[in-house]
Parts: sequence; structure tokens; C-alpha cells
Amino acid sequence: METNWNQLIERYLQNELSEEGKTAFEQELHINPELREELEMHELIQSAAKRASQRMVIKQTAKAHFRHLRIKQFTIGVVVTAATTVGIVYWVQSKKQQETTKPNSESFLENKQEEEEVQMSAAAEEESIPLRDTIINQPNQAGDKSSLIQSSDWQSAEGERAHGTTSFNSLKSSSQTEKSVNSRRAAHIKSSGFVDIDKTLKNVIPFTVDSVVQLKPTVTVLGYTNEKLEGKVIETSLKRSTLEGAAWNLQYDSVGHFNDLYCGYALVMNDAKFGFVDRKGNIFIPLIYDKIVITSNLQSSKDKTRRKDKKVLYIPKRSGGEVQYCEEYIPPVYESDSNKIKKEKE
Amino acid sequence: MIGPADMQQELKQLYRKWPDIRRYLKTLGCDSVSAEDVFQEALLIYVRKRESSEFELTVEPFFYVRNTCKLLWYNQARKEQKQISTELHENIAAIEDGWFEKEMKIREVESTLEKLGAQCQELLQLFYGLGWNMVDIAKKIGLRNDKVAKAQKYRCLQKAKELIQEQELTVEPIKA
Repeated sequence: METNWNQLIERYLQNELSEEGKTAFEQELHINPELREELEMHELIQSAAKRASQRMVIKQTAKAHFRHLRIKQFTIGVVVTAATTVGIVYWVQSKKQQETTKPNSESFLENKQEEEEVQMSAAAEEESIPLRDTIINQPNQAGDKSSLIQSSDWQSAEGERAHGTTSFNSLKSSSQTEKSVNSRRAAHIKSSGFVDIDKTLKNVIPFTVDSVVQLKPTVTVLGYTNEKLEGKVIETSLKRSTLEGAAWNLQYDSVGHFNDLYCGYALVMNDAKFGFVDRKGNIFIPLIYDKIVITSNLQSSKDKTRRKDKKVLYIPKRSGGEVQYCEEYIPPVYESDSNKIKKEKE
Repeated sequence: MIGPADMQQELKQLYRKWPDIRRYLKTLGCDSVSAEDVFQEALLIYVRKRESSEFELTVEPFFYVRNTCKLLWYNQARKEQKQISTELHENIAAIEDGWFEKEMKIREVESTLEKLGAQCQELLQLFYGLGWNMVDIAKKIGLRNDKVAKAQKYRCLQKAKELIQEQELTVEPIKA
């Protein structure tokens, strides 16, 4: 009986009963409270089951929503990371480019100004302080930022040479170097192939400590060749007269000091290529470099600029004290020494 | 009335507002775990309301759902005897009606049905919820044929009734 009722209730709720059946069922409902209760129960269960299925739909939507959200967040994260990386790389590269192009474009102007400056100060100081002959091979630590170029360094050059015994490896803090060097005397020189050899003669000028306001510079360009392949050894004043006896110096277009800073070797230039020679005129570093740079920070100097087809020799900067520690130390040439050489030659 | 595909779309839209609702519920003193349940329940009510032909949506779905959330949270908080802000008290009466009362009754039965076996639950949901025929249901839940499915449905219904009566027996004395 109950089963029948159940089926009837089902069919009634599904609206499957015929009109007569429906009427009969509703009449029965009126008089039978048990059936009413049963129907109510059925309805409830049906609604509840439906509700449960609807809840499933909502749960699925929620799941899909949060999965979508996570994917979106992840994607955004990836995109942002990629964009940041690209940005940083681009920034670094553009910065490098700036540094490469800047010195090129400005060097001419700077050189001009510098030249004038050098001339003026040289002229002024020349009068008051006579050029002494005593120590001619003084370090010329110039106070200038300068354009630096390609890789290849002193050490590698040393390696090539069998007797690369000098140790130029000491990188010194710039300020210390500056002081010690300046307290002796330093010529304030800027790179350039525009500086005439006669003018450079005047560049060996005593510097007082006070006059050196600028302690910042860490890099000196000793020799530099421009695009027209005009170049001079600019750190120097060659006293050709003092070396007259040494015939070798005539081989070169330009000859620098025998400088303690590079262990008593002298910078020489021929056909716009720089190299080093020892006191007897033997080649120490072959004349293959377009530019010679002394720097207190080798790596940064190298990183700074990359100019194509320029070969640059980087020499680690040494402080005054350390200059003494060349393994193969050749005493500085004094006037008398060079005379001696003359005599020896004779 | 609204089609299932549109409803899905609307649910997605509403889910995008979930952070707003959560913030709103938090101001009413609802913790985040309850908030998610409340929100789901409110969506369910919204879906069911949209199905009934009498229902006329007078406000944006978002505001309807938000108000429902508030009402549901009010009920829950009252049950748990939590502190209820006076602001919550004031606006509640207007929303509560016969439909809602019945809905809450159905909700109770729904949670009772969860005590049924998984197969029974699925069967009843497919049959009453999605209106599948017995042949498809039998295939879906792995029964031999529609007759077996029908018999199974009968057993499930009986079991459900028993559970509900049990529930009422245990609940009513507390009420009294």
C-alpha cells in the first residue's frame, strides 16, 4: 500500500497523473493527513536533492573561478618578472652604450680645453718653478676621467713576454695613490694626440698638494691615438738631448720617461702604436697598442668602454711606495746617469 | 526564469565580487571560513530564487546576494549566540519571509541527505535535480538497468525519510 502511495506521490509531483487521477489524489490528500505528511516529506526530499545538485554547480563554478584566478595571477607574475628582467637588461645595455659613446663624442672638446689648461698652467708655473733635472721620470698622474677601451691588459702582455717579471698588479685606492703621488709632483695631463711634444715638455711641473683639489681621478691615459692615427706619448717629456747618445730613441716617433710607475720602462710610440722599452732601448712590450691607460680599477676601466678595433693596454695603478717593488728594478735615470750612459757609449 | 548557461555566467560574475562580499561580512564580525560558506549559501539561494517564476529581481544581483549573506550570517550568529551588531538587527525583518523559512527547512533536509551513501546522493541529485531519466542514471552510477536504478531510488527515498524522521526526533525535544 505504501509503495503505491509512493508511486502516486512521485507521479503527482512529476505531474504525470491524468486529470482524473490528479483530482482523486487531491481529494485523498484532503481526508488523509498521513498522505499529506508523506507528500510533504517527498517534496522536501526532492527539493533538497535538487538543492544539493545546484550546490554542486556553484561549487564547480567556485573551483573554476579560483583556478582561473590562480592561473591569471601566475601569468601576471611571469609577465611582470619577464618584463622586469628585460627592462634591467635593456637598462644595463643602454647604460653601457652611453658610456661608450659619451667619451667619443666629447673627447675632442675635452681635449681642446685640457690642452689650453695645460698650456696656461704650464706657462704660469714654469716661470716660478724652474724645471729641475733631477728626477725626470716622475709619475704623471693626471686628474681626469678618461675614455678607456678594449680589453687586453698588462698581465697578459707580461705573459707573452718571457721576462715579464715586473709586478704591476697592485691596485691601490685612488685617494692614497693620489696623495702620495701628488705630494711628490705630478703633471696634470689629459690624453690626446693633440698635445705637441714641445708642450708636453712643460708638463713635468711640480704640483703642490694644495693645488690638487681633485682627488677623484683614478685613471690616466698615457698614450692615445686618434682616428687619424696621430698620437704622442703624452705622459712624458722626452729629453732627446739627454738620450742623444742612445741612438735607439730615434727609431721612435715619440718617447716617454723611464717611469717608476712602470718599473722604469719608458713608453714609446711609433706609427701610432705604443709599447714599452727598457733603458737600453730593448723592447719590453711590443708596440702594438693604440692606447695606454693606467687605472686603479682595472675591471671597471675595461667595462667602461668597448671601442672596436682599438687595442688598449691597461696598467694597474701603483702608489708611490709600491713603485719601489718592481722585481726587476731599474733605477730612475738622472741627468747624470744618462750622461754616464753617454760616456759608456763613448 | 533563466537558462543554465546564463546562470553559470552570472555565477562567474558574482564570484568576481567575492572579495567585496568577504570584506563586507568581516565588518559584520564574520570570520573568513564562515564567510565563504555564507557566500556559497547566498549564491545558492539566489540561483533557486531565479528559478521560481514569482521571483522578480528588484536590485542588482550583487546587492541581492550581499543582503542574503547578511541575513544568513545574522541567522548563524544568532544560533551561535554571538554578539550581533544592532545595525544587523534592524534591517533583517524586511527580508525574512515564508519562502526563506521553507528554504531553510530544505537546507536542513539537504544536509541530512548528506548522510546517505554517495550513490544514493548522486542518484537523487541526478533524478530530482537534473531531471535525468532512469536509463541514463543507471549507466552513470553503474547499475545494471533502469529497473535496478528505480528500485535503488525507492530504497534511497526510504532511507532518506528515515534519516529525516530521526533528525526531527532528535531536534524537536531541544526546540521544546
